[in-house]
Amino acid sequence: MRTAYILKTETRIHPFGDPAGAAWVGGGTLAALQDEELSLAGIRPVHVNSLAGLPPVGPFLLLPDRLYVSARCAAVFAAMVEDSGDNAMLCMPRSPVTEYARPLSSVRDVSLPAAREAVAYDLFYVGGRLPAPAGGKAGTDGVFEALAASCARVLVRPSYSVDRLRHPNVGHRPYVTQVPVSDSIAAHVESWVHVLWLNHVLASLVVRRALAAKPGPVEVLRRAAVSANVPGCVVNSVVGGTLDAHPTARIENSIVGSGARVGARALVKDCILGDDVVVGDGTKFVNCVVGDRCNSLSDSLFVRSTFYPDATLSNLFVRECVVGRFAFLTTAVLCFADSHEGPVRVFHDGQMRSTGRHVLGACMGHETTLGTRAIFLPGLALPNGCIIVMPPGEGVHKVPATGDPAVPLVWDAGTLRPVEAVFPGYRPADAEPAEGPGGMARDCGGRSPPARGRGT
Amino acid sequence: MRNKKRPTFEGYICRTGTTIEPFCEDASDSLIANEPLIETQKRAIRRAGGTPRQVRAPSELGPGPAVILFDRVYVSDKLMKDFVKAVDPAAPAMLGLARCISVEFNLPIQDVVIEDSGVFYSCFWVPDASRYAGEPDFLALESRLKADAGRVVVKMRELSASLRLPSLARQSRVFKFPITSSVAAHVVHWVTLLRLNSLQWGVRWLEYMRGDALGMAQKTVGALASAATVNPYRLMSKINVVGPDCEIHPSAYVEASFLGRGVKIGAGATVRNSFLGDGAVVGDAAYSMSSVLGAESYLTEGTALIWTVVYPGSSVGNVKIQMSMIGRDTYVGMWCSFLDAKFIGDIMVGHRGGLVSAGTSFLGSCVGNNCVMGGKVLIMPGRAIPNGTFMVMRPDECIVEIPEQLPAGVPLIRENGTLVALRKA
Repeated sequence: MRTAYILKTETRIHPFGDPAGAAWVGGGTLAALQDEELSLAGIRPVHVNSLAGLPPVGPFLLLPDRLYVSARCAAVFAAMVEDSGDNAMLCMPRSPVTEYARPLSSVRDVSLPAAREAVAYDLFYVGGRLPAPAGGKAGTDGVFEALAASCARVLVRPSYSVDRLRHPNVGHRPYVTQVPVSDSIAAHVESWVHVLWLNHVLASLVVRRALAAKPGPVEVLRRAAVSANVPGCVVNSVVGGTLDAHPTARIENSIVGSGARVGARALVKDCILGDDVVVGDGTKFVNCVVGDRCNSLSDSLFVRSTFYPDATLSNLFVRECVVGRFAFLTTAVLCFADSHEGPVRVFHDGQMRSTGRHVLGACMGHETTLGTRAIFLPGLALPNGCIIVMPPGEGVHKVPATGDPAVPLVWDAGTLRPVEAVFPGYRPADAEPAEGPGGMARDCGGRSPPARGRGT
Repeated sequence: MRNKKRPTFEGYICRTGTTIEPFCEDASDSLIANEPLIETQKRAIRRAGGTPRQVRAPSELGPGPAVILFDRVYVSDKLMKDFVKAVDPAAPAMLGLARCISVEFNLPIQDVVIEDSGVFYSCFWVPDASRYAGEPDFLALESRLKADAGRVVVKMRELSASLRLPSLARQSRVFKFPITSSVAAHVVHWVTLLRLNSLQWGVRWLEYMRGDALGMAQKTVGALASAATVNPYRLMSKINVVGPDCEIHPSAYVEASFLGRGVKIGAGATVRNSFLGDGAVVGDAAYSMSSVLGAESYLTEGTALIWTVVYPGSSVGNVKIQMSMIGRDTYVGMWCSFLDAKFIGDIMVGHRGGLVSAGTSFLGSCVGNNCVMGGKVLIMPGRAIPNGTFMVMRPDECIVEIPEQLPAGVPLIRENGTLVALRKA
């Protein structure tokens, strides 16, 4: 059996501070997923913490702990380089497969005879001697630099299709992202945005793979029993262990771990749910990866987001966000995900850098507690352990002992007071009169004429 | 009257240049159930046996019998046909309807003629249009026609559905929503446009039934057979007009709606009594009730749209938006909220330099074309937001930056765009 060494690097995922291997992707840690993918490819994974753990001479595969490579991709690469005496590096031609999770990552642009525009990943085949660290980088990253500088490029061409994902158009033409659907995926996981984007792609891959797997007779019987228990609820999905689902719930194109509870009118679509997840009544998860033991309260909506295990979730609308372990998200936390000021910028490698994306939410660190009216602009990452509460002046802390039903009260500095006392001379507001005389052929006040075109 | 031969006539549509605020669009371009008003006018004239012609000055009026209507006047197909049948071909006549639920529904703000016998709209029958060709402009033409024409009140039938409104101070209110295909209105304000769109559900379904009675009967029988029940909602969910290339998720619920070409409806979405234009997208778990979604518009996941009109190309991501209008290529974000109720008195709206009553205490607002409503704000009822408005979050009201070295386990609050410890604030 071929061996792949997964070398621990200094990569830490901001704002969690976790090593890359602890990133929550595809329903588990990246390290566990690497093991699974390589095993599926017929390659034995071995995790090593330092260069000393590597054999000095190949053949073996070498990859950093931050690299995700799917089983098919790894298998094809391994087959192409097998028995070669030279070192080689995985490359793929530029396509939605390479570009979707690419922004901010350390993948390299390369030009090859077979593909003028290609992307190189840190998956190496060491056929000869392992080179000494280079590129001015000490430790494990130096080895990858040295290998990348010296080895041959091997091009793997993934087959893929594309889902055109529609986003709201914020002051520009409809914004569509091409989400790749492929079995051959590779990505460097170096930031919380990579965790998010990789999960967008992996949700469909993992579900397709689970559905394609041929279960044994016992598993067939178990799935049949689960389906019979909640007829019509589970569509095109794989449920592990037991499932406590309300008959009006719907689970579709998803993987649900053991012991999950799914409430009335809940929707789980294109998701990976861990073990013992609770989906509250009326709560919807769409294209999300939800960690073990996450508890979502009623009537919440989560779209294209990733939740690490043990989070408590309740929100009107969370989109394109990452939420850490043991985080607590209340209903009135506001996460803006649509940028109106160009591409969203995030903190990465010590500075604010553009993601090139107009749609991106925020990231909440581990054990953060977010109270009412914590309002986040797109791309913000909150460190671990933060507790955000509502500014004291914004809530009603003190309620008058008695009230006159005829006297309208308003919120003011933490209490309720008669509107007349706060705004002397107040009368109910009505619209401001429109400017100009109006009527036929009315002057539009110099405003630009309406756009004509699409759909008119 | 039924056997009376329908006269052939010219249908003159007078383009006065009336504009609708805040869109600054010609009334003719106003969309009614995703169709420009000018197209509905032409169709109504054609179906009544006339030949539609747009004219830009009274001098273009030719000889012979004619219907003259102004560009801001909506007349449904059925009503136009009934009006032409009802008039005396030899005498000028003005279209009228007796005061009824559907007329009252859309009466506020309109510049119609109200008399004891009914409400009269600027749609005229004239035996010889050339008699009016000498008028200097359309304003004078309309005044003269109003003076000359006899009043013809067209008989109509209507149904009504009782809808319960929110109770205020123990006052329980029931609103009667009209269902009829005989509708006329002056489109002079976004409120009239909104209500006219609301009335279209009855108009279009009744016209659809009338135009294709056999198809409708087949649809109904098919619905009965497939639903295997007489539950009205189950039946109505089987009766929709669905264009080609639509993608409707099996868990979505679509009831008594008109879907254009290439519409996409997501999982768990609900579409009831609505019009969805070509290429419109209804996201997962979104909800559209008695609303109009324009072509290529996008209702994002979980959004609820109720009695609202969204013009083409817009994205609406609000939690819930009711009785409002959204212009073309506009974005309404999640946290921009439109208040839609006033506790005391009617909601007042701006019109021709003043404030007028919208005739209701339940009404949202109107957002113009090419707007971005991106901030977290509450907009009071009845507001008209001009074209091109770009509204974002106040930087001091949200967390714009996260300081380094934030203490763990210490309550923080947002202050001036950043986070500070609660005890320091």
